[in-house]
Amino acid sequence: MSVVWTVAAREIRARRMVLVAALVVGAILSLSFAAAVRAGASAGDQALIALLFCTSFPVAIALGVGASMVSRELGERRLGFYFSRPIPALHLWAGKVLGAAAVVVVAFACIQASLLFSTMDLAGYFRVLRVAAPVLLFVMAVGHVVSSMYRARSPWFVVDIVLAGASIAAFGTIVRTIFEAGAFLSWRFGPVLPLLLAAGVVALLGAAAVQLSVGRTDARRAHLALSATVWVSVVVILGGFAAWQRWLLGGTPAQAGGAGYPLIVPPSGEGIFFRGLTERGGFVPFYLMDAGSGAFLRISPESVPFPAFSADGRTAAWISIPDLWEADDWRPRLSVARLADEVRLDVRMRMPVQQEARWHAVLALHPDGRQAVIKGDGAVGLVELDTARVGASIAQPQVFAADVLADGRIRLFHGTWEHAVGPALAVTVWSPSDGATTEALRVPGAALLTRRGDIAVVAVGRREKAILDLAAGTEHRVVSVDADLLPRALVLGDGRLALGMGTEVRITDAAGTTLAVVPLPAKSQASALREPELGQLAVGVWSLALSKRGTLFVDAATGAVLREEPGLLPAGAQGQGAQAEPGSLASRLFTNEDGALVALEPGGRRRVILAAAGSGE
Amino acid sequence: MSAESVLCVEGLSIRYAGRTVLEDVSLDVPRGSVFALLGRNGMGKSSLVRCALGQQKPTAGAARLFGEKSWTSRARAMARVGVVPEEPDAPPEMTADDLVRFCRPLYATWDDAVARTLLDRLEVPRRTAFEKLSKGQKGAVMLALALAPVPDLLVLDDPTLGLDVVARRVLYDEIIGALADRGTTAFVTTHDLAGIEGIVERVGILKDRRLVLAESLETLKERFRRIRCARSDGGAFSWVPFEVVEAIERDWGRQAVVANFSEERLAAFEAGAAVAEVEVGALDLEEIFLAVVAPAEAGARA
Repeated sequence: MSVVWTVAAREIRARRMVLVAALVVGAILSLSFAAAVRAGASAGDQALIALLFCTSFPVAIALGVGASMVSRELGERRLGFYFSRPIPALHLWAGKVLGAAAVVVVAFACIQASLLFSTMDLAGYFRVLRVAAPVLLFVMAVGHVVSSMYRARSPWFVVDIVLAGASIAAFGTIVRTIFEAGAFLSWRFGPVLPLLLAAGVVALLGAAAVQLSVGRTDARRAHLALSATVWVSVVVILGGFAAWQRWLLGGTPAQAGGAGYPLIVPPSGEGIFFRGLTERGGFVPFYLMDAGSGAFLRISPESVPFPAFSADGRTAAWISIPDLWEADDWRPRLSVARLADEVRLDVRMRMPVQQEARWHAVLALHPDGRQAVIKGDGAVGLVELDTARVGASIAQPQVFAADVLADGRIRLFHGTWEHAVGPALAVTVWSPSDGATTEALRVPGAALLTRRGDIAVVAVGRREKAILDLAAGTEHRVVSVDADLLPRALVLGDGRLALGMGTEVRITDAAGTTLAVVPLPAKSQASALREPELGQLAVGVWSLALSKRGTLFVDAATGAVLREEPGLLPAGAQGQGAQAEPGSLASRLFTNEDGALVALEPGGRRRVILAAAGSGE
Repeated sequence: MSAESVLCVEGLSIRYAGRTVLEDVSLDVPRGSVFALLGRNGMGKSSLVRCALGQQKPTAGAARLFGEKSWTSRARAMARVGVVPEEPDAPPEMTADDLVRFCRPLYATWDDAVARTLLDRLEVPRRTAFEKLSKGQKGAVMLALALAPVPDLLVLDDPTLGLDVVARRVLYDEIIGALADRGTTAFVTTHDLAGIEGIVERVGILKDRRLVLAESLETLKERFRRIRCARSDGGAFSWVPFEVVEAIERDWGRQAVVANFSEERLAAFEAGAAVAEVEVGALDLEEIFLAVVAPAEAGARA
C-alpha cells in the first residue's frame, strides 16, 4: 500500500500548481460574488456566474489532469521510470488514479468554496461536492482515455473515433427514446444515471488499469489494451442501458395494476385512456387502449395528454405540451389516434402558435371526424385533424366543455364573472362559419355535472340542482334536504334524470318532478351514477367513513333496488366530456377493491379489463 | 539457461505492426559478468532491454530475470535491478532529492549514501528540476538511482549517449566501482565500444535482426585477427583454412580479417603457396564489431 501512497503523493506534488490555481480562482470568485451582491446583481446573475466558473474550471482541470495522468508519460516514453522500479502495474495505476482524483476533487472543493462564502450553506456545499465528485472523476477518466488514444499515434485511433461516434449515437438514441416516452424523471432521478456514471468511471479507469498492466511502456499495445477494454465495457454498459430502457418502457396495460387517474372512457366504443397504478422504475405511462382487442398505445405522461373522443369512440385527439428535450420548439402538438384492431397514432404534428391563444386542450371532436374543437388561453378554435390548421377561432375565455351540434354550430360551456352576481356558468353557441355567437343560458354559481343532447344538469350550491334545457333556454330547480358532498347527475336514455341528492338518489322527469327515490345507506352518498343497460341505474355508494363501497343496481322506472354488488364502484370521472350512452363500456366499467378494472357484461359476468397489481390475472 | 544466469533471453522475437525488429534471439548473462550487447542503430537493442526488464511483451519467446519470467514477475525482479535508460526518463519536475525520496521507500536495500555520494561527486544540483539538468547530470542522477538500491543486476541502455568525454569517463568509473565493490552483474548496450572494452567480459552482436554472436571478449579477440601478407609469385593464393570476414588486395600485398584464427591454422596457411611475410595483428572491439556488422565499411577503412 505504501507504494500506492508514494505514487499518489508524487502525482499530487507534481500538480500542486493546479491546487494553487484553484485556490486563486476560488478567491477571485469569492470577490466577484461579493462585488456582484454589492452591485445588486440578481440571484439569477449570481447563479449564472456560479454555473460558469464553478463548472468550467473544475471540468477543465479534470480533463487536463486526466489527460496527463498516464498518457503524457507514455507518449513521452517516460513511463519506463516507474516500470524500472519494483512497482506493480496495478499499484502504479492505483497511485496515479488516487493522486489525480485527489487533485481534481480538492481543486473543485477550493473553487466551490467561493460559493460557501455567499451562501454560508455548509450542508449544501458538501451536497454539491458529493454530486460533482463522481461527475468530475468521469470527466477525468474520459480525459485520460481520449488523450491515451490520441497520443498512441496509432492508426487504430480512427477506429476509436468511429466507435466513439457510434457509442454516443447509441446512447443518444436510448436517452431520446426515454425522453420521448416521457420517462425523463425516471432517468433523471432514478438510480440509473448514478449507476451509468459509476459504470462509466469504473470502465474507463479499469481500462487504464488494463492499459498499464498489459501495455506497460509499449504505447501501441497499451492503446490496444485500453481500447479493447473501453469498447467492450461501453458495449456492455450500453447493452445494459438499452435493456433497462426496454424494461422501463415495455410496460403493458396488463402490467399496469389497474387504472389510476385519469381514466377517460368515450361515450361509446371500447376505447379507454388511463394511467396505470403500478410504476416501473418510477415510470407510469398513460395508455390508450382498445378494450375489445387489447391493442394499446403508450403515451408520455409528461406531455399531459387529456384526450377527447369521437362519439363512436374510435378516434381520440389531444394536444400535448412539447417534451423537455424539445426546447427548440415549444409549439403545442396535436395528436390523433385511431382505435381499430390496433391503436394507431396517425397524426403527430406541430400546431402553429398563435399569440392570442396557446392551444392546450381538445374539447370535442366533430361528428365528421375531421375537425376538433380546441381551446387555448382565452380562445376556442376549430382545428383540422389532418393538417392541424386552425380554421376558425373566437376569443372566449374559461371554456371547459363543448359539444358539436348537428348543424355544425358549437355549444360552449364556459365560466363568466359579473360584479353583481359573481361567477356563473354560461352556455354560448358559436357558429364557426360566420363567427357569430349567441349566449343561450347563464346560471349564477353553477357547476356543470352532466349533459346529454339538449339536457344538462348543473349543481348550484350544495343542495340544489338545475336541469337545463339548452335548446329552449329554460331551467328547473331541484332542492335536497341534505348537502351534497359529491354532486352527481345522469341523464337517462329515456330522457328522465337521476340526481344525487345528499342521502338519496332521485329519479325525475325533465321538469324536475320526482318520479322515484332511491334511499342510500346511512352516512353514504352517491359517488357515481351510470346506466349500464337501458332502464337500469347503477348507483355507486361511497361511505363517508370509507369503510364501505359498493354499487346498487336500481330499476330506473320504480327506484327499486335490484341487487347490490359490494366492493364495486363505477369507474372513471364523468368529467366534462359527453355522457356515456346506456349500455356502453363507459357505463359498465367498475373498479373493485383491489383496483382492478372490470366490465359488467350483460348477464352479470365480470370481464377483467385491467387486472389489479399482484392478482396474477 | 544456466543455473548462474541472471538475465536470460530465449528465442525472443519482436515485431511492430508487422515489421520484425528481432528474430529468435537467445542470450545468457551469467552472474557477476559484464555483458555488452552491440548493434547498429535500429537493431532492436532497446526493445530487447525493455523485454528483458518486463516493460514490453515480446512477440515470441521470453526473457527471464533471476530465473523468473520478466513479464510476469517484473515488479519483484526490479527490486534487484538498477536501470539506466537510453533517454533519462525521470519525471521532469522532480529534483534529484525528490527522486531519491520517491525511490527510497520502494527498495528494501536502498542505500542513501550511495546516491548522495554519487550526486555530490558528480556535482549534480540536488534542488534543480530534472528537466533543467544537463544531459550528463541527468545521466548521473539516473545512475545514482540505479546504484543506490545496491542491485544485483545493472542494466545500462546506451548510458553514454550524448555524454561528453569527461562525463563518459566518470560514468565508466562509477560502473567499474560498482562492479568491483559489489560483484554486480551488468548488461550494457552501447555504441561507445572503446569505452566499454575495458570492462566488458562477454559480447553479443546484433545484425540483421539476429544475434550473430555472443561469447566472451577474450575468445572473440582470440579468433578475430587481421592477417597481412606480401605478394608472392609462387602460385595461386588462398586464405584457406581461414574463415574470411573481409579481405582486400593492394599494391603492397593482401589483408584479411578472419573469424577463426588459431596458431594451427596460421601454420597451415603459411605452408601454403604464394604466401610471404605474414603478419598477424589483434583487433580491438570496435574493429571486431565493424568486421561483423559492416565488413565492407571495415575494409574500406583499412
